[in-house]
Amino acid sequence: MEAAAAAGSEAPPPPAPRSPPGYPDLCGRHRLQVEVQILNWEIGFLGEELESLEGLQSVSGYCKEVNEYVGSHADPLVPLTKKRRKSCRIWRWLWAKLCFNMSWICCFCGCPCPQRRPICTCRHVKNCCCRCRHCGCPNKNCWKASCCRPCCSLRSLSCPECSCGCVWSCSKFTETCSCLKCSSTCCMSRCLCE
Amino acid sequence: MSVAELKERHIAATATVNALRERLKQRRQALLDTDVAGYARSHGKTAICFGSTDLVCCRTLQGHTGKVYSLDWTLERNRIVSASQDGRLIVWNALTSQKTHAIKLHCAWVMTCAFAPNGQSVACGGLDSACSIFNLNSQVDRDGNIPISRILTGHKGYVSSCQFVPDQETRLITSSGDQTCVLWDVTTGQRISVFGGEFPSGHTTDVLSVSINSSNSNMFVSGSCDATARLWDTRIASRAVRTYHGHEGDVNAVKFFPDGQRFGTGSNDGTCRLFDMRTGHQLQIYSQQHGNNDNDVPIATSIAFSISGRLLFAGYSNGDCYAWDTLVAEVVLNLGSLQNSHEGRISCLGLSADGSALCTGSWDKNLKIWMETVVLKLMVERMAFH
Repeated sequence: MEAAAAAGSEAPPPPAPRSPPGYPDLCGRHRLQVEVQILNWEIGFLGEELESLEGLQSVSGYCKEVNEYVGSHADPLVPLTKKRRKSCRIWRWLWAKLCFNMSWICCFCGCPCPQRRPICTCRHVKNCCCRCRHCGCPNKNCWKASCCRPCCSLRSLSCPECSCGCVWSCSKFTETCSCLKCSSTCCMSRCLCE
Repeated sequence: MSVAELKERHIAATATVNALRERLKQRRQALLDTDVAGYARSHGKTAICFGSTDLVCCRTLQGHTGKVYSLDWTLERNRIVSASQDGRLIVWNALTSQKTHAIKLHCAWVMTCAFAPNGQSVACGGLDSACSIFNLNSQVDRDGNIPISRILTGHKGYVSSCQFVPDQETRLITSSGDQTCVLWDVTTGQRISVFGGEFPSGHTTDVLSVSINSSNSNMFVSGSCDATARLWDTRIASRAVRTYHGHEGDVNAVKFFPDGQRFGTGSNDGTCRLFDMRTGHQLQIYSQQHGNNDNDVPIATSIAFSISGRLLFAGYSNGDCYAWDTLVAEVVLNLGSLQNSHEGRISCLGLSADGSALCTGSWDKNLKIWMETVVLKLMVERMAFH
């Protein structure tokens, strides 16, 4: 028994987990290699770009090209030239005098209705409205050009301010459909305003 | 090679790159004898004069129930497609403001949309990392929706921008948050080429925008969160043709100048810039003075050139939409201050094919169409006559 006890005291230590061996930091090394490769590519590209600058003309040459291109092309968004605008200025002054407090005779927004009045460019544009004698938007506060009641030839147009989310292409669309929210012609079943 | 040697090489290469970049910067500075505005002024050019009623909002396109993120015009017949946070694409008749199609998307998180050159299909993409194609002539399904005709999958990040190649109905280019741009064959759904990513000289972070050169559809430019724009040749996917430095923030928008030799950019740094495509020169900065606080500078979100290039329209995060006179680098009009302007951030804008109308899209859920007054009157008269 004593021998057994002695043997027990010399028993090997219980198993314990061992630390893994020190493997090299492959991920870091690989990442460094990739980065060095990318930097070498970048050096090549920058060198090529520097070479390409040799013999280039200065920026003014390219600015000249921009100016020439712009000057040689018409642009529908650029307003009329200053020269023409001077004569229009007198015309607009005259209209301003005529249009004061008589906005009902002028239609700034270019109503498509054949009943529309002459175009007014006076400073009282806020008072001008698309209200020819026979046509007008169902929305009394609307002054947009595109609205027109059924009496006018373009009655299919809807007032943009009143436009709901209705879908023209819906299979249930008919001419007689009308949106519950506004009076625009639309397809009720696909109205996005619902 | 040991790690220590690699580190030494890394340090040396970094120093070489920095030195070369400095030399490049100095060389470009030496060539910068003027800019577009300096040249124009020296030749007697003055800014365009806009009256308060010269450019008007002639249409408000209402119908989206969420922020508008993207829009695109057709090449003809004046239709517009828009994409919104409400998860729909809407196709509008720009003349009448009627909606011709409303497409409910499978993934509501759409970021971009585009019309095909023939106007018969639209494409969109977003956080689903895919680009979906819809044929507008398709039969609707049982729920009344237009089905997807093709889905382009392969990006590993969100699709930020898409554009059909102008003279090729079956090719489309996308940009993505996965740092790449991809040229697709729409008929097969296959990727033809990938620009960037594993290849060197690609963008180093999210790509936000693309613009294809209408004069040479083999070339396109991309803008990225890495503050650069890069020029690509679709025939050479392995590397960018050129990288354009200058911006100090994300390049949110890129658009080619009408002559196809230059392009504009809009950035988080609040500026727009004009670059020469062939040489890399920065020809002009379009920037306004702001307060000292960088947080006050509104972000340039979207840009478009007028048909002559004389005007650069730029939409900003504070709702402003400036018309820059590109030649003298002055703001000649702020659409955001006009009557009936948007009430939120301008997220997208675009010119009609004939250059007669500008469409703006906003976080106020609306799109608006702007035209010059005289041209508008002529158009209305023509419509009334017919």
